[in-house]
Amino acid sequence: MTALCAALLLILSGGGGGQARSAEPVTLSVVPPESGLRPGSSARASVLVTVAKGWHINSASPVDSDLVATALACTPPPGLAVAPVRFPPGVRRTFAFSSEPLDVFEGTVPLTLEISAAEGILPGEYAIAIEVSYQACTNEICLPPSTLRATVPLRVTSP
Amino acid sequence: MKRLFLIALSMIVPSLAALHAQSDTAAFRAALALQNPPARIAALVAFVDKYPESAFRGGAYNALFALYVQERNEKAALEAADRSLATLPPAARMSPYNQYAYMLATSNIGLDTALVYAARAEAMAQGESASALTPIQDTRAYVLFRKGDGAGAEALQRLAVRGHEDDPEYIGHLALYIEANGKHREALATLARAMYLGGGADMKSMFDSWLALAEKDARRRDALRTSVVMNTVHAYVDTATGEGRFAARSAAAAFMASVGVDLPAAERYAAESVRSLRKDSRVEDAVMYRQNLALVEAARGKTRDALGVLESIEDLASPWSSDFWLALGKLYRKAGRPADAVTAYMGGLTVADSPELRDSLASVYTAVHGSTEGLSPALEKFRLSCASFDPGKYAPAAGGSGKTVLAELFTGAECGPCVAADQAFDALAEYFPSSALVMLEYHVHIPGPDPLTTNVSWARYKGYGSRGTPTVVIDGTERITGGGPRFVTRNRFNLYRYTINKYLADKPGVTISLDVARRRDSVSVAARIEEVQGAPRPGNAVLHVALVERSVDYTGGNGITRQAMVVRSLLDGGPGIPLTLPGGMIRVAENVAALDSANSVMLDDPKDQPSWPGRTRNFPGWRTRPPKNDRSNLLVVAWVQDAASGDVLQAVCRDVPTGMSVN
Repeated sequence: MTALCAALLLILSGGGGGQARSAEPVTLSVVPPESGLRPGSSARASVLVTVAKGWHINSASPVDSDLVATALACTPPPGLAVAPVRFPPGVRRTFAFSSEPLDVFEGTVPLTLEISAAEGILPGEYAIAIEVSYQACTNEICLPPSTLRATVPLRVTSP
Repeated sequence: MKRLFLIALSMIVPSLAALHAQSDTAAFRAALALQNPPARIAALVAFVDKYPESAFRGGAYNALFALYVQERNEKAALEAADRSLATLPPAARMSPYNQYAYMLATSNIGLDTALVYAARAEAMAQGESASALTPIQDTRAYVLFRKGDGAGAEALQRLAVRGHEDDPEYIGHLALYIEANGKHREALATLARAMYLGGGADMKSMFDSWLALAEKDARRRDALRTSVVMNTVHAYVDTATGEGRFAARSAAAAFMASVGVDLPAAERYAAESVRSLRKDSRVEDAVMYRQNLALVEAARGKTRDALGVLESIEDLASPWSSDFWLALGKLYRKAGRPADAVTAYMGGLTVADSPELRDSLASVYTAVHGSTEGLSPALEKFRLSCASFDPGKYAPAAGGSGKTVLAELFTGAECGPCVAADQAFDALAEYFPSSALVMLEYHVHIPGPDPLTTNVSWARYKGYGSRGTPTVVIDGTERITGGGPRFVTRNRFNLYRYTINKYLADKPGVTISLDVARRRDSVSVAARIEEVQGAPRPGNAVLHVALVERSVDYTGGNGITRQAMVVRSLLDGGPGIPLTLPGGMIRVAENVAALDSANSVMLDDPKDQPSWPGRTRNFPGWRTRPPKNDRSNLLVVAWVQDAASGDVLQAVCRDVPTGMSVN
């Protein structure tokens, strides 16, 4: 059983309960606010940008302006506003093809949307359209810049 | 005074906020950059104290959690996990719960909390897709196992693998839990599945130890081994269809060789797979099938045969494939050729890194040279030889077919992995005469803006269904995607040359006689196409004509300073000019001054062009504007392609006469 455990660690350390694997290098998931939003109040939603294993995307502030920065654009309906989203710093990594380190995102990048509702907004169901633009590479290939789109549903309740 | 103060304050407050934003980013980045774990912990703790409202607080606690787990400091790790989770809305905690549970279980600390986290993640994933649920169940099963609940782990893992029956990792985990529950034979069968599917080399030693647990008697153990392995092999080989039959046989051969079962049958399977290879087989399959044949030969003790097979594909084997180079190095050592083993192990360390390769290299280098002194410079010299080398010269076969192959490269001046492909094309130009190979390099805005991009380049990139850069298309049909840093250049050159050679054996489908004339800025092309007697007539033949600049001095982000064979325009407009066979004359023309003007417009506003992918993103401006078309450095490439199949029937190139240049 001891030998088994040693071997087990060897195998499981290869990944196991890691991130979900996907054919797409980048996926997006949205977590809407926990509860309804009253007029004049604010709430948080989350956007999780997940980069598949072996891939990287440029961070929001890449080392070179010619690299496509990861960015998030929100289009809230009238009466709702989203504060500018702050991205976490990227990871400095030197790749086989780069002599200088690049500033990249790998794994899951959590983003928080600070949503506020105007005083005069009418109660009802709303949706904020979001777009995450990015550009992904591995050590062997680069993909065209791309954009993922999603919506953040939320409910505005009575004051 | 009061008003002035308010104005001043309103100016200062946003600045202070901005300053704070900059300083917490810098502080967080500086903390993460510290290499020494205690120093990083101290910096992160100081960060969360100093910036309690920072948006990066969760990230800091997350980093602290990982560091404490590494130190096996359970109490601090759990506290950091709690604080990190608290920064997220409850609905956003699924992924961190899963990750924390896995990390705790791996370090065998905080297992009760790990189980709670894993269960919460699983509950949250129930509403998600099956692909989201599987890795989370895989984690919880692992935690259960670590807590000693083998039955629970097995039951849960059985759920997790549903829909993932071809995943060696998940199947391997299931095998472990079954074995832990004392069901040795079932565990062996499950592990055999994982091994057949390509599970890691560690599984082999596990398979042997489980066999010993399952059967004490040596003779019966051998029978059990054979039975488990062959049942697995037949389950896959007997049900595979179409081209998959040969892939299944090849994989079966490798598996049988790895466990030493029925090697004659394994050799038959491997040889059948190799024999199935045709001209249009993927080069990756050609390499893999031969590599698996070599594994079988080696297992049968036919070291020389195995080496012969591996040496026949050494030029094509990926520098990223550690397995190949390890196998080759081991065989060289076995054959008493340690100096060749050194080269083989270096081949595996050209761009990838593997402790096993490094150890093997150090060991055999010491055997050859007495110590590892000089190893590092020797490895560096080897790597440089993969980047810069003499490609030699093409020797055409006697009575050649008369075919000129077309090689098209889609590249980007900002694309790091394109360097190997770009440089390999330079080497192809040295190796092949233009009577054997015509090359085109289309620039596209991948990954960043490339001023040599044209709309027709982008249309052709899309037309081939390319996935990214670099992509090479040989004679319109065989696509080779991917490149790497300059140290991969020789491998890419070999791969492209191998593929081009296959197509050079074809007979041309048509002949193209090309006359190119230039008067001032006008380049006119007359192409006479004639069908080759006896060649199959394509259903939808079209003529393409490209105006190409032999080299353009432009340095992009990937450091390539001279861009070769740049496609400046397609005189046929892009889709090609339909041909009526058996033949005829087609005339096209391009005005280089008009082309310069059009390029200038495009360079002024690239975002307004169809070639701009992801058309909403910002344009940072060009590094520099590339020079206009150099009239003294142009050539015309023409080719006939079957628009339906993509096959290129023949290609040809001619220099544009320089004459008296009047710009």
